[in-house]
Amino acid sequence: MPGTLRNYKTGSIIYFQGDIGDNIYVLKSGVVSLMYPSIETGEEVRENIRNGEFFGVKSALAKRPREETAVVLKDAQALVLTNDEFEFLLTKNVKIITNFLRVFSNQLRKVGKLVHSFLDHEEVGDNQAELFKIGEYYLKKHNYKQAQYVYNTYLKHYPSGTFVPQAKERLEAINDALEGKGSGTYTSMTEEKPATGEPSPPSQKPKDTKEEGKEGVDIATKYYDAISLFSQERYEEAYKLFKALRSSGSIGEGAEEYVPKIEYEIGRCLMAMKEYKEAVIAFTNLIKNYPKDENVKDALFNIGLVYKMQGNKEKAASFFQKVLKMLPESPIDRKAKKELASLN
Amino acid sequence: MKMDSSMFEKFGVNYQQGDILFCEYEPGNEFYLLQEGRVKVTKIVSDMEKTLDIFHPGDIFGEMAILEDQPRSATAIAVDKVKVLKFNKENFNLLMQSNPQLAVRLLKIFSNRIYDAKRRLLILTLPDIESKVCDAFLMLAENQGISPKTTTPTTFSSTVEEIANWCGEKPNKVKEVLISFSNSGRTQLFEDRIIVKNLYELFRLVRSKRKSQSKE
Repeated sequence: MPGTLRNYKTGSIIYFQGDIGDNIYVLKSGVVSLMYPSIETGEEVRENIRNGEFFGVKSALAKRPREETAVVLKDAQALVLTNDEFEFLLTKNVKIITNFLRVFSNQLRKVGKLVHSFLDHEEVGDNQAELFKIGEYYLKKHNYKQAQYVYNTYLKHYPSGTFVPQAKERLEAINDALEGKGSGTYTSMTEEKPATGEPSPPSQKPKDTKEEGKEGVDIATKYYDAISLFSQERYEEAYKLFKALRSSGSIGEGAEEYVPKIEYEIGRCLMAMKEYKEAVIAFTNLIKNYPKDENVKDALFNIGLVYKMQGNKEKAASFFQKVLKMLPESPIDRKAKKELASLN
Repeated sequence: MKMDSSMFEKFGVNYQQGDILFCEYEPGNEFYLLQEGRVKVTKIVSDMEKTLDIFHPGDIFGEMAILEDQPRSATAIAVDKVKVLKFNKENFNLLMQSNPQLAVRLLKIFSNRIYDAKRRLLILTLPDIESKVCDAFLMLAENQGISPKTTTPTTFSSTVEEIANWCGEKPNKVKEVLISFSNSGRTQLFEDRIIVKNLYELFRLVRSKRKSQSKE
């Protein structure tokens, strides 16, 4: 075994808390105690080292100050290893490594739990919503490839999550966009510096083009720009963009599918802006003009919500019931049931 | 680092430039050993994608996943054509046996993580938000090797949200503190960076708070 044997007299200190040193020790005989302030209470803790046990490992490996003071309580002998000698020893004894990994991961878990206990848990957002938002970010930046990965990941891990319909919808639009554009936009790293805090350079936006068949792509990006404004709670800006899209006549061939979507989103914006009357009109337009659209159920549900907010329980209930009667079943059914129950 | 080709057959995965290996908030329990190409790690903070780190061949990343069931805390994206070995808890031991040097590196990473987590805890145990904010700057300075006794202006490429995150406080509350610091000339607040005029002043403030705390 490499290393040097060293003898320590009772009352001597092997190292002090705060020292920096790259030695690692194995106690051979005698009594050595580690003293350190408890991270939770600040009170002093003492811990005796057993014979054959290592100490001073973490600080030596991390090259950080010692966390504890090592005091000799009874004449002791220790094997002293340098960082290099210790590493050599480890590579010959994989079992020691796995033991240390276990010890360290337990410590890390313990500290991690303490950290979490100090954090306001309400602030920690809901993971599935946060994951979806990452997708929204990449989509907004027109990084379709990344957005696609995130939405697919979302669907894989949260097959009955709140944003499943949206994620599916986004994926379809991305597929269309990718087909029209070739590969997804990717900002190469040579244009970026790590952690300067500067925003990454804007990725290329698809050019406004009047060529036939390209409107589909253009409208898709604008549509998702508006969606992401909405998700940032910038309802009025989103509303304006949707309205501009609806009236611009830019909806050309191959982009008709966006018409009902825009109508529905306008309704949602108006609702968020508390323009309830207008919102009901927009939702009603959608239901009348596109009775088979995928958002019809949601539109019915939203009208129900508006009536509920206005205190018209009867009308609210009739709309929630319409939702429940309509096929196919969707996650909105559960919400409608809940709303119905809350009315009674 | 050499790995025999059978390792790659079993655990190897290829990625194209721009591919995401894993993304922030994705559940996952694998960790990665980078063989070829570079991988950048990014996080979306205040609606901006920030590059936190760039990994090179031989680096390990995603290792926290073998410890806890938390989702990923950042996104890993291939910068070039990338080759990685992907391991999970189950085949972890096999890796340890066949590559002890790697295991030693993992031990070092964990040692550092424990120190980092304890340092963060120190911020959280302070009694008020002002001293927490001060201590967050001190911790960031330590991480960059800047002395807490610095008396000349120091620039931190951090946003209010990030500081709030270190303090475990709401961003708007931290913003209020930083605005009052700015009004008294202690800091200068920008969209993407914060300048601290005199770190040593913050250091003394935090030290006196800790002392009065331990007397209680």
